[in-house]
Amino acid sequence: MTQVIIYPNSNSGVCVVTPAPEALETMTIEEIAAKDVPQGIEYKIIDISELPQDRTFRNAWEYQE
Amino acid sequence: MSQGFVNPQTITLPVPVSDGGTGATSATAYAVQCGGTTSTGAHQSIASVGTSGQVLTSNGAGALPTFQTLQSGNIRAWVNFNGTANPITITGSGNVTSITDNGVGDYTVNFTNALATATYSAVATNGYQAYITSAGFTLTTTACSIYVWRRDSSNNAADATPVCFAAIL
Repeated sequence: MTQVIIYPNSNSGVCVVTPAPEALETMTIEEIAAKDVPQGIEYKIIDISELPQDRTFRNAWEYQE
Repeated sequence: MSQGFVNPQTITLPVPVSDGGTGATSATAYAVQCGGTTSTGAHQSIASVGTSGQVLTSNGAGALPTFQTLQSGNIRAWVNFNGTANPITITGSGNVTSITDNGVGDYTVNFTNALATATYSAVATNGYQAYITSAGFTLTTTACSIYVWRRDSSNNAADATPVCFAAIL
């Protein structure tokens, strides 16, 4: 698993969706995004290397368009 | 006749299995087709199309499967994940497409197939090295949100690992 899905949440933060390896055996990450991101919310699929290095300030993360 | 083409005038109906057909002249609407036996022919239908919500269950070798009502008390979804990792890592799962990390100690388990009702029982165990944690849930048929917080004087939300979750119905 090298990619995750991100989208903004209602608290001005960001949600990070990690696909299950089990699901990736039968679905693409695009299909998982279409299913698990709330309808009408913009999202991005990014490489995990683009995430911050640690979770110390996890709730301060922001979604950048 | 050139190779790769079939002269329609030579086709014998029903088309046999050996020629890519089913060997059958008709089919029951909505019925599931299974392999046949020497007595039933190449294909056979199961006895019933079932009713909404039932699942197709094996009756073992030598018997056709049947649609049956799900028994209660079974685990409909489960997952084991590391909620302190960045991103979250999923060690194992069943009927789960993904985990949404909503923030510190706030995770959503997204189900592959929706559960029949939102009145299932959600259970989770979670741990952390330095303190005891507790968990709360928000249940829907398509997902379950898990909230983890410290059971100490701070009572703050906290990331945890491993988080082991199951939805029982």
